[in-house]
Amino acid sequence: MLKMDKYDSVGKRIFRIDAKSKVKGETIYPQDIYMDNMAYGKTLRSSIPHGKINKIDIEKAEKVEGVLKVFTAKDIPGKNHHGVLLKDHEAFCEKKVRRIGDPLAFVVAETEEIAEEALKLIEVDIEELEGVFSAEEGMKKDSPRVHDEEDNLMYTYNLKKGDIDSGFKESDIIVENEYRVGMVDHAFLQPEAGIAYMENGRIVVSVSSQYPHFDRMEIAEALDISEDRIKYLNPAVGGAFGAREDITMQIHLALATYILNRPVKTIYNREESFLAHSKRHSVVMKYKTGASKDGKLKALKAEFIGDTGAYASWAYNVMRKCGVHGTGPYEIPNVDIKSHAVYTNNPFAGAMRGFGATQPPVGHEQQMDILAEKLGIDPIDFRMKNIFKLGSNTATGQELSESVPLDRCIESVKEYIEKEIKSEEFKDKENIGVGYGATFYGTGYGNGFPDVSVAEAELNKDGKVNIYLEATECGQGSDTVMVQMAAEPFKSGIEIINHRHCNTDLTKDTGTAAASRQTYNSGNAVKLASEKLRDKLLEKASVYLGLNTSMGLDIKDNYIFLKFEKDRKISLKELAEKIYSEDDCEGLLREEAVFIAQTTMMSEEDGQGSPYWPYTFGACGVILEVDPLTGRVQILRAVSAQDVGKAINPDLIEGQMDGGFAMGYGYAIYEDLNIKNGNMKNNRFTNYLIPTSSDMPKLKKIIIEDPESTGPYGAKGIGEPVMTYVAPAILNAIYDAVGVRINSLPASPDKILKAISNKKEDKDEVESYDKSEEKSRFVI
Amino acid sequence: MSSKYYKAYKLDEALMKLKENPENSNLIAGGTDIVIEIKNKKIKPDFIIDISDLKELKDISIEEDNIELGSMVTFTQLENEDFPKNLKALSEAAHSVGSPQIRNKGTIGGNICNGSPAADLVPPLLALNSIVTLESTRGKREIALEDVFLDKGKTVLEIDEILTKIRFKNLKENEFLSFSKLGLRNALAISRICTSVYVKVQDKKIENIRIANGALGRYGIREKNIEDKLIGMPLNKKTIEYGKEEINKEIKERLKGRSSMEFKSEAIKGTLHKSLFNALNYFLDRKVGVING
Repeated sequence: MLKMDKYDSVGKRIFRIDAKSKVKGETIYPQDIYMDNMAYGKTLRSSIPHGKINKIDIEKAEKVEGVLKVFTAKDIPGKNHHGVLLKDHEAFCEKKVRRIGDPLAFVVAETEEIAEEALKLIEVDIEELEGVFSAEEGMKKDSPRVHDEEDNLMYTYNLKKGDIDSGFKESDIIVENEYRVGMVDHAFLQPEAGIAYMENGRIVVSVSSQYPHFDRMEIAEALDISEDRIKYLNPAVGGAFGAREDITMQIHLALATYILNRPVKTIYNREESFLAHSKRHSVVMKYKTGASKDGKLKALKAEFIGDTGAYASWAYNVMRKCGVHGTGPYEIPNVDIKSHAVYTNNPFAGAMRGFGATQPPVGHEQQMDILAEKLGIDPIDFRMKNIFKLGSNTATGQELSESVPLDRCIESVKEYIEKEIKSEEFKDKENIGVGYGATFYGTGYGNGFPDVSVAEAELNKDGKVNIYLEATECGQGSDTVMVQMAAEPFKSGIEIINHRHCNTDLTKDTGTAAASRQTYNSGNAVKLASEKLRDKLLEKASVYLGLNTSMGLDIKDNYIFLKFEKDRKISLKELAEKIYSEDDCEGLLREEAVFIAQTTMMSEEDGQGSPYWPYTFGACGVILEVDPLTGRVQILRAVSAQDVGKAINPDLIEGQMDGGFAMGYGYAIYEDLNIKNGNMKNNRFTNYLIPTSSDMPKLKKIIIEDPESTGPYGAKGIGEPVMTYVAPAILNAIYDAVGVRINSLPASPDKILKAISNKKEDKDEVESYDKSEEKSRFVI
Repeated sequence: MSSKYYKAYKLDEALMKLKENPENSNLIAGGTDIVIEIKNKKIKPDFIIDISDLKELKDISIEEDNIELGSMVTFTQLENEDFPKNLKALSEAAHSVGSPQIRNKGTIGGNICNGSPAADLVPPLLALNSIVTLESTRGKREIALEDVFLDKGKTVLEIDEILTKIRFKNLKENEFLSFSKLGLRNALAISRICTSVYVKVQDKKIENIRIANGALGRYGIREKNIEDKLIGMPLNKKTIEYGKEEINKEIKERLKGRSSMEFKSEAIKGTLHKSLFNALNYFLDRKVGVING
């Protein structure tokens, strides 16, 4: 399917460079690190969702033999705070706890067992305060305040386009519904673990992170030391999905080693991991969508109420992204969207794959199917009439000026499903359903925030190329694609690259491994750095080859040669030897390149602006079976088609598509934290269910290429978009199978069964419609 | 804080060790539950006796009249055993448990003695009217599986006893066992409900039926009220519908006041439906004593 092209390393299905060591168990995760004289830390956490701290008495705990020290808020030398946007987290809670799981103390002892015993001896006196446990409650003026001085309603994004009232007047059919998506967990494989130690008077912190440079800054602020006194080593990351963006143990470990001058390690078990990191925002989504008889969308009004839990984390950016993506990938002339973020005493919500763009498709894609049915139009045809095309304007008034292959994504998904549904297997089978979902996704931090990646390239003494680039490998495959992109200008295979990373002493800031931005942003930076180095090497080579200029010189297979006199050549190894014999100094030929993505800040009044670039597009189709007797869903076929700009490594994109499907599948059908009064009841993999390999259908993966001129080699990032269209496709297929709409996730057997039995009871009732507005009726 | 560990290779040794240290001893078979409990510090046994390699308890013996399973037979063994068609449900039940790793370790004896309400092998073994053998240095006794359970996690086993064998009557051509599990996903799923039904058809009527459910009470239980109602009826779609309505009422009553009542009383119709239909299809294929429709 993929076009053969001119590239040497880019576009190839190169085996991921970290695979072998991971498969052989050689990769070092932080839990694997042991040091001499190592002490162990354990964290005391609040079991109360909202309370005033009267006293934390550590006296008995500190007296236990083998306890080195118990750290609390008063031990923080600098600012007792952290947070990716607002500094509203405390390293240790001082006056108040705002959620179950808030850290209160960190016991460091000779052994893990002693630390655990001592933890039980800390006497905590917390006066419980009335809490607030839903965003809707939190918005009420008289609800208890989570952060004393501030309104719980901490942010609202407004998006307005056209005239919403006249849009609904022009509509022949209007559908209005409410959808609810709850908080979910990232469920990464490796629970948090880490170690910190002193090295020549500096603090070394080794904790798996999506953004080592930012963590280093937060540690420096808490410890009141300069950043250069901290070295952050990023060990292997066993999955992240956004949950390793906020600080968990980093400050505790750094503080403990700084005060005690001993290596200190801590390991969270799965239950503590659930408590420690962020969750996906739960969102109540109120959708009203209008279309004309000829199948054109006329108006969309939506309100999103997002629960950010006890802390802000990325709330502004997440709920802003939710608002911007509220329309789905459709041209709608009249739009009115409000998107709120609200503090509650629930677990704190932050970044998670899709980042606010995962929730709206559960609403807008079901709205599309409901409208299509009422209009008597095929749901795919209805989408095709309204989708973003080249030159379309988004609801924020941004022109999609290139690389908009959504039509191809939808058509290829449809073609696959229509072929598969004819298979023998589905003949005479009842309760089989087909469903589709389509989405768009804006890459990067967005909204005019400086989205910067810095990369460096230098010639090594042996003629290889050293790349200094932090971009965290979280399992998504970034190490491999970065090396492919860095190698390309030298046309000598990926073996030419030594990738130096995972160490803040060596690398400059490439921003966080999030927002599907590394391939695009850091990919651009590393490409530029390599190209600069290559050009410089051509210059140097021209001197050694006795030429007047580097014009006409080319590079391939570790040689620089004159294109029209190929014997006039020099190997990179020789070149390096010559250069370093003149001046034996590391980094002599180091080239730095900076890439900054282009976005503009949206107007506060109406949300108009260009908040993201580039956008990616995609679609999903599923065939599933619902057992009407038990409510169980089995997905039998599935297809995802993803616009990637240009595939740097098709294998890795397909891997992302498999993972994105599984995550979307879990979101739709299984995942439920069962949070009651701020307490996550499903905090283990025994009761927090995610799909297993035996639940996964065979996923047909279609890569759609349409190069993006600002992307490195035309590439766009796809780590997040690959999950956004999955849940709505499944929900639409459930409706197709058994005629019930599930508007609150997950679509578990009990909800489906109840919906089916309610539908039977309602059968005879006559539906009455308002003259101008037709409200679709739901069975749940 | 540490425990003593003893690995037994002969049943006698294990029984002796258990007798020597009856207080705060734990038997370990597959360890799929107990290891987690130890790790989570829910239990702190002073003495752990490993009985997983007791050769005399690892056999499946199929004779014309009786089938006997050693208590240390693993789920995997059961899954791979070539049972006749009317007993295949035992393999299905074993296959429905956990993951391959868990099935390789977990044993029938452990599944019974843990007394979990959701133990997947208990309903089929109840439906087969199994008798279990309990042994101690004091001797042997046999007891109906049905009478083993006292409460969730509690059994009649004395502290010096080991469950060694499970025995039931081999099935004839006109008898059939079926199994249906409702888990929330395809693997590593704890039963929300599991249902097993034994049916004997004679003279075109249900001569005998035993229905057993898991995850619908404090432990796996027989549904005798429903059985009584179905005995004597023809095995057909109408009877199946009748059985579903009756069990729905029964479970509604049993789970009254519990949040799971609404779902489970409805979903039980699904698992019973599947179990009875499997039986019906078996008899239709064999053309023994049932009429379609």
